[in-house]
Amino acid sequence: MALFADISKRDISFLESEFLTYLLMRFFIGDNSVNINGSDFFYIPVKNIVFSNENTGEKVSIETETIDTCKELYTALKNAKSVSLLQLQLKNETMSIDICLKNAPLRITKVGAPKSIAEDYVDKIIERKLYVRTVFDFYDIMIKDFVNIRISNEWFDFLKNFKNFLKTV
Amino acid sequence: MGLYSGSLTFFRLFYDENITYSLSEISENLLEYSFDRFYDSSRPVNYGFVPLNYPDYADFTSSEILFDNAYVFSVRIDEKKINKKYFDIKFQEMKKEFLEQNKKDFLSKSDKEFIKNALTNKMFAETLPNTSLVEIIWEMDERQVFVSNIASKSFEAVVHLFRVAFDLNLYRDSLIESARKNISEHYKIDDLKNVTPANF
Repeated sequence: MALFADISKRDISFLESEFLTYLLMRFFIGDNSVNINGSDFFYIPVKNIVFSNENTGEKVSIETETIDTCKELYTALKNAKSVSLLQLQLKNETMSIDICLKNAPLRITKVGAPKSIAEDYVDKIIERKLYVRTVFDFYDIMIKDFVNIRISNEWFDFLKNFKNFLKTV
Repeated sequence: MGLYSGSLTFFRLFYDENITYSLSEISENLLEYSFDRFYDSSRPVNYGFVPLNYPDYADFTSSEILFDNAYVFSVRIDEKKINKKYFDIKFQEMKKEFLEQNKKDFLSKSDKEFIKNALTNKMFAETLPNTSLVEIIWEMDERQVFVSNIASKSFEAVVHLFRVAFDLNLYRDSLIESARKNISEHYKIDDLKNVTPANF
């Protein structure tokens, strides 16, 4: 019998919902800005958030137009449920892109971009391709931030900050 | 729908091979593995490359593929399905006809196989396909490919075409793969694999 588990076969899928929860927590503690290729963006969770409790399999779907004041949302977070679906808007001064992120496996399942302003066919493709790239750049930056904080002691400070925030609502 | 208008939902695939192609090489390979080149009406599944603005542009000779820093095109997938009940009825009819025409009392195993293959080919040739187009954005500098559909049939077709046409082995994006691509310190990925679930 092996004394140690094979690390390469460890199930680390919990990190996916932790990542989505991390995005939501960052929003609530006011750290929702991100610089993408020199341009300042921020993100806002919108409309639909699905929480799940991996131990019990319980799922809670919350649809709201007012994320900031939604009591059910805070209750779900206080009950240690983690996010399995997160809809958000990625915005800057000139554009707003709708994104839906899901776990198991972690993926971007929906992207709604602004109407193209280009008239020429090639320009339109280039513009819309840029939106796709912006979404994945955002995703990569957030994953990088998440990994860097998740493997350090900052993670515990981050969780403490968020728990303190939850006590105030 | 897709890159020209509608939803911009794309999924990302990566590859590790350090291979670069020129625009002319890519055009040649897209043409060589284009849908029309390999189309066979008797096959249940046909797939191949087509231009992004297909079918307005039917082939790659007059269509743009380089948009800014990325190569953009599509994969057409035609899939035919035969209704099993209908097939069974036709199979029985053909067996009877075969016996009468060949003045036989019974069918050997090879007779049955022959009839079955003939019927399958005939029905695939007569059946209309379900056609889908998967849009592809290939960013060679980043070794990544965005695809508009990642359902298993589409994924398999795209992976196969990239392997045979460009010698590239595509694989799916994941949290760990994204981290691996964006974080140069490998120990961080190892550390991440060792963390225990957080207690929110």
